[in-house]
Amino acid sequence: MPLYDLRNLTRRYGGADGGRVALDGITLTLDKGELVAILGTSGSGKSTLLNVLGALDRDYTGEVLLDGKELRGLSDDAAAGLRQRTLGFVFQGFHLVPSWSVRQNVALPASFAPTPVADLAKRIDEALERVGLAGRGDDLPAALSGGQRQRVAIARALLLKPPVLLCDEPTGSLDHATGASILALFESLHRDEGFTVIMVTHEERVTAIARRVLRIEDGRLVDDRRQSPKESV
Amino acid sequence: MRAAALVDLVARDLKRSLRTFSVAAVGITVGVATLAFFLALSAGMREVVLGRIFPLDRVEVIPPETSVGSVLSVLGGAPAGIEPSQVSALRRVPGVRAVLPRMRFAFPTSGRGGRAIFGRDVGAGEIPADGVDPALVRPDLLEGADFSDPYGRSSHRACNPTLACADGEYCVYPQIPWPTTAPQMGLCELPIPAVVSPYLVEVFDGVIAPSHHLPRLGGVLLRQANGLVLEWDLGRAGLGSARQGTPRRVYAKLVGISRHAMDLGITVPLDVARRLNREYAGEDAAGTFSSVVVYLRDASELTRVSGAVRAQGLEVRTSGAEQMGLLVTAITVILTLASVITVIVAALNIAHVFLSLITERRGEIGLMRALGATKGDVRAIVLGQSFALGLLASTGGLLLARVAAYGCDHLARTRLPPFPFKPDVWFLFSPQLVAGVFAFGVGACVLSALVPARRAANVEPASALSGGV
Repeated sequence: MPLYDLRNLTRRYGGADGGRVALDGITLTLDKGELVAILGTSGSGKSTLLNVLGALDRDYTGEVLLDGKELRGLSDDAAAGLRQRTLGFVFQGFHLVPSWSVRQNVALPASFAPTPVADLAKRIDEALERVGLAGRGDDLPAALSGGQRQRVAIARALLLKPPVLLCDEPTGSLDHATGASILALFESLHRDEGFTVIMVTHEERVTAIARRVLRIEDGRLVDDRRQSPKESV
Repeated sequence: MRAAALVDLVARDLKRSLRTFSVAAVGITVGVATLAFFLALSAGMREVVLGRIFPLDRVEVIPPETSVGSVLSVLGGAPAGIEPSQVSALRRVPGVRAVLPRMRFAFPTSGRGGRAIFGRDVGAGEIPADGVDPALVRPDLLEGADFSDPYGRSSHRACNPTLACADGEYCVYPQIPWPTTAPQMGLCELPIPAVVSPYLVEVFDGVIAPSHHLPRLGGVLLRQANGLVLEWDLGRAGLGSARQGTPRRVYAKLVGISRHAMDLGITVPLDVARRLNREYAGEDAAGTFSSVVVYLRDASELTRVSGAVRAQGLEVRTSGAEQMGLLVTAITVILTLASVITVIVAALNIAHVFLSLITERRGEIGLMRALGATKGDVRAIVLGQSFALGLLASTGGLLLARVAAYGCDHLARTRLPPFPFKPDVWFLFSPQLVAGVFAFGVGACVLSALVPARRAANVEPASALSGGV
C-alpha cells in the first residue's frame, strides 16, 4: 500500500461561480521512504498540495488516502492525532516562538501528546544533536542564525519521530550555503534514518537531492520523474 | 492535551505577555476590589443595623393599641395584656422557633448606683423594667449568676442600720427611709438579679457619658459593671407613685449584659416582675404579659408569622427593621451594580486584548494545529490564560479590598468620635463573600475569553501558516 494515494484531487478556493482552482485533478501515489521534491512557481498550487498532504486542508474533492485512510473523513481530533503521530512539518518561516528557548520550541509537539512523552529531555537533546545544535538548547531563537533556526524547526519536527517530514520551502529564507547544509541534513535523515521527506519548493537546486521530482503548473501535475541524487547541491 | 502541559503553556504565555495582561487585569482587579469592599461594608452594616439595632430574627408582639383595654388604661383601669392562652397559640404558629413572654413593670421605679465605676452614684428618676423567662438571658449571665426570683432564698432576718445583714444580703425596709422617718426594722433580702442591654450601654457610652463627663462603659469597665448593685426604689419615681402598695427600696444586682434585655431599662426574672406587679399594680397586671418576643426560624418567615399574629387580634411592633433592611439592601445594590459594571467593562477590555493577541499570534496557532493540537486544545489554552488572569486579578482585588478595609477600620477607630453602636470593624469578609466575589472575577475573565477562544480554535492552520513568526 502506498503512503499517499491521491485520486483526482481538486481544491477550489471561494466563489459560487466555481472560484479559483488551486489543484486540478491530481492523481499520484507516494511511497514510504521516498525523498520527493514538488517543484512549482509561486501560485502553482504546490503549497496547497502540501497542506492537503499534511491534513491541514481537507476541503477538497477527489480522494486523498494516507496509509489507506481518507483524510477528509477524519474528525478534527483524529486529523490532529494523525498529524502528531505521523507527520513532521518544516516551514519556510521557521515558526519559532521568539521568547521561548530552543529547548522549549523543540518540546512544543510533546505538549499536545495525550500521554506524557517518555524521556522528553533526552529526546530533545538527541533531536538537537541530530541537527547539529547540541549545547544550544538554552539559547533564544534571536541568538541563532537563519540556518540554525531552521535546524531548530527540523529538530522540533523530529521530536516525536514521525515517519514523514513535510517541508514547505525549507530553504526559501536561507542563503545558498546555508540552504545546502539544510538540504544535506534532509538527505541524511532520509538516507540514514529512513524518513519519508516531501518538500515543496520553487528552487531547482532542491531537486538535486530528490529521488523523485514532481512538477506542478497551474494546479496540474505536469511532470513526475525519478532520478538518482546528484553529488552536490 | 494533558493538564500539566496546559498549565505549562499557559504560564509561559502569561509570562510572555506580562505587560499586556497586567494592563488588562487592572480593570478586573479594581472591579473585584470595589465589589468586595462594598459588599463587605454592606455586610458589616447589615450586621450592626440588623444584628444589633434592628434584629430581624424576631418580632415583638403587643396587644392591640386601639383595644378597649387601652381605653380602660387611660381611664385608670388595667392596661391590656396578652393572655397566656394567646402565648400558647403563638407557639403553634409555623415558622416560630420560640415564644418568650415579657412582663413590663406596671408601676414606676427609680434608682441610683455606680459609685464603684463612676466614683459617685448616678441616679435615674425613671427606670423602666420588665421581666423575662430566665432561659432567654442565661447564656449572657456572669459565671455562677442565678437569674431567678431571690425572694424565697433570702433569710428575711431582721435588720436595721446597726444590725447588718449577712454577706450578699441587703436590708430592705417596709417603706423608703425618708430622712425624717423614725428608725424602723427591715428584713434581709438577696438583691434582685438584673441584666441590661448592649443598646443601653451604647446609648450611655455615646450620649450620656460624654455629656456628664463619665467614663464610657467599654471594655474593662463593662466587665467591672457586672456585679454592680443598684438601690432600686419600687413604686416611686420622678413622675409619680404606684397606685397601690407602699414604696420601698430594694437592691438589684447587675449579672449580665444581654441583647434580650429591654432596650432602655433593666430586665429581671419573670417571677420577680409577676410578684412585684401583683404588689404594686394588682392581680390583672400580674396575669397577662405586656409583650411577647417571637423568635423566627428564619427571617423570611416574618411575613407569615406577622399574619398569624394579626389573626389572633394582636399586633407586631414595628421596629424599623424591615425599612432599614430595605435601605441597606438598596445601597448595597447600587454600589454592587457600580462594581459589577466596572468588572464587565474590564472583561470587555480583556476580550479585546485576547482578540488582538489571537490576531497577532495567528501563525503560532496554526503551528500548534500542525503539531497536533486539536481545536479543543487551542480553546483550552486561551481559556486557561483567561482563567489564570482571573485568578491573579481576583486575588489581587480581594487583597486590595482587604487592605482598604483595614485602613478604613483603622481610621474609623482612631479618627471618628464615639457614637452609639459604633462598630469596631465596619467590614465583614465572610467566606461566602470572598468565594463569591472571587468566582465572579474569575468567571468574568473566562466568559470574556469565550469568543476569542472560539475564534482561535477556528483558525485555519493552512492559511495561518502562510506567514512566518
